[in-house]
Amino acid sequence: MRRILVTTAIVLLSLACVTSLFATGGQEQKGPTTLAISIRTLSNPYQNNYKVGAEAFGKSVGLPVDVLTTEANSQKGITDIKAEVAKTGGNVVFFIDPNEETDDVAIAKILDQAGVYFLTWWNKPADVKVWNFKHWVAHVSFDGIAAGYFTGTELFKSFRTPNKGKVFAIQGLLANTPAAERFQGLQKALAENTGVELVQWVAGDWDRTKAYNQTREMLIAHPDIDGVWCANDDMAMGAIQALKEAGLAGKVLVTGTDGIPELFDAIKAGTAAATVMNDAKYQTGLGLAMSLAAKQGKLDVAAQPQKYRQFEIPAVNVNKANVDQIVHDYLDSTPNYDFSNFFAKWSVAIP
Amino acid sequence: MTGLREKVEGGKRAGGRIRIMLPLGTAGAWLRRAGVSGQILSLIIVIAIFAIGTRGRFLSPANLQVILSLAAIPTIIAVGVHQVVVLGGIDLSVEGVVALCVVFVGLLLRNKFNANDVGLWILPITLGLGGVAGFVSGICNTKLRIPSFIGTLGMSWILWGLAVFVSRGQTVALLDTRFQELVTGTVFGIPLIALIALALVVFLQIIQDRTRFGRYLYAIGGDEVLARQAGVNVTRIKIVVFTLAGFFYGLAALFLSTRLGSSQAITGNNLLFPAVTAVAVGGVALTGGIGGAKNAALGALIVTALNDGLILLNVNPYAQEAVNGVVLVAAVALTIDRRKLGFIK
Amino acid sequence: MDSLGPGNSSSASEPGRARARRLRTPAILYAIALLVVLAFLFALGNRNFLSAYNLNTIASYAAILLVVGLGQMCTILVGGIDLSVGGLMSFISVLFVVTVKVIGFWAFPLCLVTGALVGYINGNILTRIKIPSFIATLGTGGILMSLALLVSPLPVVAPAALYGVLDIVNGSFLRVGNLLVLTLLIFVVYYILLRFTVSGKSIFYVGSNITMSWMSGIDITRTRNLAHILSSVGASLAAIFLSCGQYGGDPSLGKVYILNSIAAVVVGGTALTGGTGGPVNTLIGALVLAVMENGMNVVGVNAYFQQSILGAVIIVSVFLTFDRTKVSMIK
Repeated sequence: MRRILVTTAIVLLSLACVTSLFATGGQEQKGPTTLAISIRTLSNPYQNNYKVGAEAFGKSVGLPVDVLTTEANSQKGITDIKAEVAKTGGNVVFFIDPNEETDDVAIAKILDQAGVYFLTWWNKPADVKVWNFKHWVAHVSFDGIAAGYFTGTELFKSFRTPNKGKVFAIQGLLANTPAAERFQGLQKALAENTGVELVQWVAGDWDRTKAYNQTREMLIAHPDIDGVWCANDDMAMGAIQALKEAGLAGKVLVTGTDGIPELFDAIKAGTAAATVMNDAKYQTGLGLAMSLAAKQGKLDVAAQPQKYRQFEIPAVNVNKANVDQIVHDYLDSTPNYDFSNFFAKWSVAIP
Repeated sequence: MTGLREKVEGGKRAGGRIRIMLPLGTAGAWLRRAGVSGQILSLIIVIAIFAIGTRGRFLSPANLQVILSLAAIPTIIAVGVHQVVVLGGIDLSVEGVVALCVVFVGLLLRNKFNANDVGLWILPITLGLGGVAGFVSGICNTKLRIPSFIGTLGMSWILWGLAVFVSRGQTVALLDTRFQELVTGTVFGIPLIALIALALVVFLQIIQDRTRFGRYLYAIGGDEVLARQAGVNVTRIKIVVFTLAGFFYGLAALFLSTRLGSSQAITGNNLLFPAVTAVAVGGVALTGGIGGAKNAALGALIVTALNDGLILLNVNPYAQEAVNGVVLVAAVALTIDRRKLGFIK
Repeated sequence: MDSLGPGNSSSASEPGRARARRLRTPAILYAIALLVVLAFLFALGNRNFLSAYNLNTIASYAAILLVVGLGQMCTILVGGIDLSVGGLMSFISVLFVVTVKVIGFWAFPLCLVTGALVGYINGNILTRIKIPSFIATLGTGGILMSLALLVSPLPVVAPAALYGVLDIVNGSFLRVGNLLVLTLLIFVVYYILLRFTVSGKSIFYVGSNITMSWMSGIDITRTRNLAHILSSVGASLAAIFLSCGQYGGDPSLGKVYILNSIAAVVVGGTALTGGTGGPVNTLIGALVLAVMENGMNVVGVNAYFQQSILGAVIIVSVFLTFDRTKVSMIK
């Protein structure tokens, strides 16, 4: 009996091997093209806005939207993308926020083979070039260094004696490219403001509770701190909460990045100094619009100059001065995005 | 069985090394009997290292206050997990249960999102939610006969998905301040939340030491078949333990969201591993039958003190995981009472 | 699925054993039936589910889970657990890509030997210093994680010139993916090792009843060291495969595999208490997880519900696969 079972199991796996003999990629199907987005998770407001943006764009062009999440697992992300290709028979375009930059080559090879157009955001290794792949429409990103630099300088300005004091930094996930870029931006700001000293930095893993704990512990080591720089808004909210308990909220300010509604409130209340809003709805809208245009032949990918294949668009810098305007523009009403000119917000090419 | 034997023989066969470390007569004997001498020793080692490393700042009243305050929630969770571990199982449902409870706290307490305000009713509601989740895990384990690892892991994923769906990934800012006092207040300089955690630990420890339920717990953990043959209603005890664990997670969820002043599903993330680590470091054998609430609490305290010390010492974040690992292994290596365990698994 | 382990101590009376023998087969058949039913449902939802392209996708995803799961299974069978797979996979991933730039093909054996060494250390911390495997591997996992960040604090990409070396895994032989062939080979090696060699069989004995095994003269130290080495080698292989597939190393690659590897083992019906289960169970566990992961996306299940459905299915799967006849109590 045992032998039969083992044989069955081995036959099953071999079957899978043999079938790959006939692997041909998805068959082109008639019918509406699916708009698919591969993102990290749905469990945080910023990432959830990817979905909102994609659905809004889908509605405007009358096409169905599928959402895939990686949940911090690169392999799951890649497998889900392949599943989506299988599902639609290749009649799909992608917006992808890769889990890690090392996923890009694998994804590009898979989608190139399947003939599926896609656009990536945030993560791309510097020496992998978009123009080496036929179906990789573009890689777009916000300038992480600029974000860290902006929040850093805004934070320094908020000190009791501006640009002079001690700052504590809560980094994101170690080994994560955007986190590292934002931190680089902070260091650039520090280099320009020699009066400011970075007393210590820790890794907060994008986690609000962790940032709360670390800030409380930090206040023991450096009670005379002047500001807390955080790599994203979630952690910034945790830091604000810890400062509130110590009676320092409003005296010691905090900065983040992402632009979640809570942090806008904190800026209004004077407990946070600044944040950088990455407009997720625009991100997915633009990504899907470009990929769809490529698929429909309206955008000739191969003919695009290199500067339009890898580029950055500016994020929205938010501080006390413009927070009310931003909330009015982006939260209370959804801006009317214009996706007819893909490069309207083009700021700088990524080399 | 091991558990019972330990209770009988533990006092008699005291180890030479530990006797040297604790020449305190009756107090030492009590610690040995209670099975926490090793953990107290590791805690002392950790404290000593950091106290020297930070030139005493680690022992400042302000820092001790921070450690106690931060250790409270992990303690509550670890105490919930440890009872299941004593039974010989494991409870991985923490993250899902906490996520769902936190989301409901956000939606039901006074918040910026909707007009709900259930006030103090939130306490029975979250405890009830947690309890029901635990109860279902217990049923899964006993009636469907599914190993607790998978039953609770599945439960965690189910509830996590539900929490994300209910919250739609949004963060809800809490406006309610009635519970704020509980998590921020202090009594004679001791954080109130730590006292609450302590009360729970003492309460559970008394139950474990003094009641029939407690004896049955260790009997099942030691040898379930024997316990069953001796007439213990194993099924009922197991379901009660899972439900109790759920209550603890519900309470932890309430404190977590009140402390952060907000509610989001990801608040539940990164709670499981520290809790299980605390349980293991506290000397609760993962094979079951050994260790009580005091062990779980000490474990949580050690883990929290360790994290706090690493930050105060300004250990390079890249190396923190390694230092954490080395200290954990060293602490357990120095203090584990190997005579109790027979073969280490 | 033979009972290599000596029945679980006191409870297994003679008639019980006879019944156990009669009931033994269905457990695994149920699991296969579950797979077939799932596949059928997904195929009904979208006929592309059974396309060659998609089956290949499922197989590649299952392959990684299977390789790391086979390793994890060895420590679980022997009655322990290996939490260092996360740190080890992260470390091997960056180590592999960094060394492949220098020594090319030789990075493969180098990483495997490193992995085996880590397993040997894990085993010795357990058997000589006598620290429970949970704490020991938690500790070494943390150390390896830091080492990974030390080797490369950010993801490293393999230069295009080296794609040739990496395609040893990515390429295909007679249009069958090399990854699948290699995985099948690894599966067969683990199968033979565990079922037909003395050392392998000892793993089951020690897991079932360590005291009894020790009394009957089995070298439990060696056996448990071997289990840990097998575990680390499995994790290293999986890390190498992943890095080849992604043409780069990633110091945060391993984290998700701590729980996923254990899940793959347990979903297949291997008991965490040790002694029961085996490679076939792990294969089924990996396939169930992979089929679900893929199928839900192929039929387009709302992303909000995927995690919940997966949770429910693993419970059902274990309900079907767990062989209760060999375990006297469910823990």
